[in-house]
Amino acid sequence: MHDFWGPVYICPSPTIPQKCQPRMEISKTYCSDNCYRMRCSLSRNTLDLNHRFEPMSKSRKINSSLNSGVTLPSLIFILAVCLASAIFPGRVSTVLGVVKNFIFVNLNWVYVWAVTVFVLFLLFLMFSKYGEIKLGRNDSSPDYSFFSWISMLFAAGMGIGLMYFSVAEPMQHYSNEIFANSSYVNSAKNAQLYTFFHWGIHAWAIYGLVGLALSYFAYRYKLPLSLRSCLYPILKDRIQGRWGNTIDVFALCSTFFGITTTLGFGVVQINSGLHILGVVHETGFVYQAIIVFILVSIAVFSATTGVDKGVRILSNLNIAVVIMLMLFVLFLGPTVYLIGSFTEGLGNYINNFFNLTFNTHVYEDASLPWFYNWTILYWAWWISWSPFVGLFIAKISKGRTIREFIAAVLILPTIFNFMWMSVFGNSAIWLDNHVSGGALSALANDPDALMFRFLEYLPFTKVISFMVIAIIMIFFVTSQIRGCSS
Amino acid sequence: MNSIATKNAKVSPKWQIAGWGVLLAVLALFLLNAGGLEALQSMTLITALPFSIIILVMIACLVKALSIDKKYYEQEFSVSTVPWSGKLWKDRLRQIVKVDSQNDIDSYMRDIAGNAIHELRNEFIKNGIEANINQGKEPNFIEIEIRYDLVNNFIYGVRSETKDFPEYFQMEENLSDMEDGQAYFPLAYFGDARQGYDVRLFTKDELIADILKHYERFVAIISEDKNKMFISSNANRRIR
Repeated sequence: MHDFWGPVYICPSPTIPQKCQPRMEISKTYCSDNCYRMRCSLSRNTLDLNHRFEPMSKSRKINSSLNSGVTLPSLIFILAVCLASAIFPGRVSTVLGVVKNFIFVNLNWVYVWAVTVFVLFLLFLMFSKYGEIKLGRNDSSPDYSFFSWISMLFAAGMGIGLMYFSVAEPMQHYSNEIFANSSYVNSAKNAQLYTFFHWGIHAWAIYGLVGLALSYFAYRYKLPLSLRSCLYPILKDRIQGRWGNTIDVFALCSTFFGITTTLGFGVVQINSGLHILGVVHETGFVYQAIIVFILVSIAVFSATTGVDKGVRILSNLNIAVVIMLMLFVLFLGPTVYLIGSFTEGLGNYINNFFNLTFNTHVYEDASLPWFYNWTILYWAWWISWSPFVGLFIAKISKGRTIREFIAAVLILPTIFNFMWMSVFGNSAIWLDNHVSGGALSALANDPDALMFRFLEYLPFTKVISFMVIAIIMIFFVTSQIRGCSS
Repeated sequence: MNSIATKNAKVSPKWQIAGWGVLLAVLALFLLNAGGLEALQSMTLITALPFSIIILVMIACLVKALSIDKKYYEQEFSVSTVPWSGKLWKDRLRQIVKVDSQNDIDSYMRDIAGNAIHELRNEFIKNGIEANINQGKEPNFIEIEIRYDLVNNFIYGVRSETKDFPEYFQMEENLSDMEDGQAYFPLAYFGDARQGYDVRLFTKDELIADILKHYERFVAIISEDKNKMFISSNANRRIR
């Protein structure tokens, strides 16, 4: 019999050698230090070939599971950006500004259409006959009970962004000069509406779509749970090769910068909070570097030693604290006003849903920069997070039907975001109008500090401010650990 | 990010995860230093653009995959297997395994379809109903037609068709050999242009039973007053 890989040595459970056909991908799994099991695979058909003896080569001693086809190009890109911004900070900043402006002006329609198509496609899928298809075998049942599934979806949306933007975003829309000619009521309503727009169904349609594609191809086509599998119908077996790598490189770079941005917001806000509380003397790069250093050390320490269980407990505890914080503001703020404005905001959002979806501000020159800086940037940010969040919701949703999946993913986190944004944003606007006499909105150009300035109008300012800083720090650490390992 | 970079490895050394973490932090700081949060946002804006296109392609892939998936589970048993009992099982098995050639289809058209339709016609005539047989030359089709003046004619026919097997199907060894990846099969068709089906596995009597079922359905439809408008399209042509 023709032997493909040289002589066979005595190994545990030897099998008859077979020939790998051309076009088959060969992979090896080491069952001990010097023996491996070879597998030939053609798409989903895997053939166990043999146990072979082979002394481990030197390169295997560097214990790594990184795939060079994905890691190398991504690392080169990331390190190049890193290096460039370290050596020529000024020039990098200028170039980035130019590129950003170019995308804003000439390519914003790509983002607008992409997100619009995502939303419409998911809505279509939810109501179509395909909604009955299960993300898993037809005879399987979900991995998680309905209640724990929902609560995990609720938690999936929480993070640094909520802490940073809950006061800052409504406040900045509210005090924006573009909307200045409208009345208080209109400004307040618009502020809430646009915040809902950016944090609502559109954001979750992006995550939901990526999550759906990931889980669908993993659980029904039995492909690996990875982004390259999502293009299997077009690429077929090529997802194993260069094409698949290309997709993963784009996904990796995108995720990388998305998480970096979020961490950036976190650091800046922590810095600002500590400054307001008098712990540090000023805000600036040095302090931010120190904060990042401390938080990253904690993250690395807990990821490399055995305390990641502790991190999980901390992260669950954090979610409980976040909800308590929301209830605190709800009850000590203008409670009835908040409930009413949540209701009205929800109705306003539903009524304006399609208006907002298709609004490109193309006739309003004055508000175009606003549109770019908020909506387009948000869409980019959510898209960059989608591999990460998508992977998480894909993992927990095995066994759900597509209809259940889409409905839950679009609605549940959205509702939580809306409640959160209403409680914080509308409290701030109400306080600004009824208590502080415009002092809060005057600070809108310093969004890093807005959350803490807002807390100054509520009782227990210091305690709550420290609590907020702790929450952001824990979010920083947990999202870094999750982002890195996802 | 680690699982993207490792093609989903189950176990990864911890230094890898830590490495990503450090890299994230370093980059965040350098970019913050270079241009503040705006620089970070610009990088996100740039890198998310190609990925948004990838997600759009995913939609196309999902549509394709979902429709195959749905069709797979909606595939029903062929009409010609409905009357099966266990009686002729050995013949049935042979029929399923066999790939029909031109000769096979010719003999089917002659022996089974031809005989069935002729016998049925005689029986119709005995019952006082006039039925015609239209036949192709080779015979590549044969049909029974019952004419009407005010409503459309009843037609049940069988014609020979070919179908191609996909490449992977031909490569499978545990299937019977097929000449040039093609098979012949008899396809039923109807006067009212409904989707026909493969009647290869019918015996003569079963084919007759199938024609009668369609005839019974036809009679039931034409006896409903409200259907008259729809089923008189042959007659309606005169209005032009």
